[in-house]
Amino acid sequence: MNEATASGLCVRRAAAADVDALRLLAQAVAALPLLQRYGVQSGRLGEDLAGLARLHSDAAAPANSEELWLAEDAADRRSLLGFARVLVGSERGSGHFGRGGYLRLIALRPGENGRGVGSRLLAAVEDSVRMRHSDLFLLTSDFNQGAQRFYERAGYARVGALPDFVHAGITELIYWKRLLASTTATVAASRPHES
Amino acid sequence: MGERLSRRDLFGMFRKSLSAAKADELPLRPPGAIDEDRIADSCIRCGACIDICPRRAIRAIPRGYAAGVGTPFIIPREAPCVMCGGLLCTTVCPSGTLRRLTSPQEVHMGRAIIDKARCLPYQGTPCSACVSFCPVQGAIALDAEGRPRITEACTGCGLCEHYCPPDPTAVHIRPRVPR
Ligand code: SF4
Ligand code: SF4
Repeated sequence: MNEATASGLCVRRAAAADVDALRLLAQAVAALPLLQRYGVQSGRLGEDLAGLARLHSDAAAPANSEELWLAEDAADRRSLLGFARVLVGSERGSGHFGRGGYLRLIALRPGENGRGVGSRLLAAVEDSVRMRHSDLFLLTSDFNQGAQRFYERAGYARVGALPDFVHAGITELIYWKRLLASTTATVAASRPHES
Repeated sequence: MGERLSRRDLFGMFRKSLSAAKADELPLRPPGAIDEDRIADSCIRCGACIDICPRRAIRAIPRGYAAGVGTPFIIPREAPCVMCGGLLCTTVCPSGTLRRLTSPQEVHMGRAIIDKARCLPYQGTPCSACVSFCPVQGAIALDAEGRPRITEACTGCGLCEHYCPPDPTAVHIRPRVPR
């Protein structure tokens, strides 16, 4: 057992077959107080997630710069427990600040906190980003202390603040984690990956 | 963390001569490793590869094993090689035990083996965790029923083993067989 499979959780990339389940998950998630505060509409969120899932399954689609990861109960696949959206540059040297991925959102179905779903999704995102980039960035709301504690425990450092950035009256806190624990010189000297 | 799995994975390792040992009983070495029968003499146990691995995937073979104590190996179920940007471990080895590699396509640590009796799609339950995480295009092919098959492109990184939902895992990395 490891942190990825503990508690019988399955984490995987979304696929076209998930579209209906994603619309239902979007409905549940959009009702969360955090997303309500940003005015997120469940229909729009559901279509965004469905679009990403379809792109993941389309071999002919151009390389996607956004990944959608899902968590579900390995023993009960009837509903999704949560998702993570991460923007990734397609190759090294691209991405945010030219160095990394940007974790847009981890959202869990109401009532799924506390069993490690968020940690599993975050570990999956980090493993995916680490293949291409040295750093991962994210924003959390100034009032969302639960999220701040979660990311600080996972090794993220608060490095800045953006007042009124997404929504008037809310300051977004910038968090950053170095995924390649190496010197800048070593990272700069490493070669790009062709895959 | 990992004590139980470590012992199980290490059980039998190096207790036989290399020629008698099966690949499953050999340690999974980091990318770029030279042949198994030369590692114990070549590695100077400096720990540079262990220190630089951003995934903390590399560890040293612990005391109590017949040979190779202190040399680097990986237990993918606990921490897989993510073939990090730069393949960093291959850039820092001062003894040449891990040769410098320049792309993930050059990595040949081993090969994933699927246990069809445990793999969910072979039991009729959809699952795509291994395919989701596999960083090598074409290393896992799906048949018409969505059942995974490992191809020659597999590098043996172990991401599929790490994220495989059944416990014990339905996919296991068989280390590269010594020449
Ligand atoms: S290639 Fe990178 S992730 Fe893989 S074992 Fe070496 S340092 Fe760790
Ligand atoms: S099949 Fe598994 S071990 Fe092979 S390259 Fe893909 S993830 Fe790595």
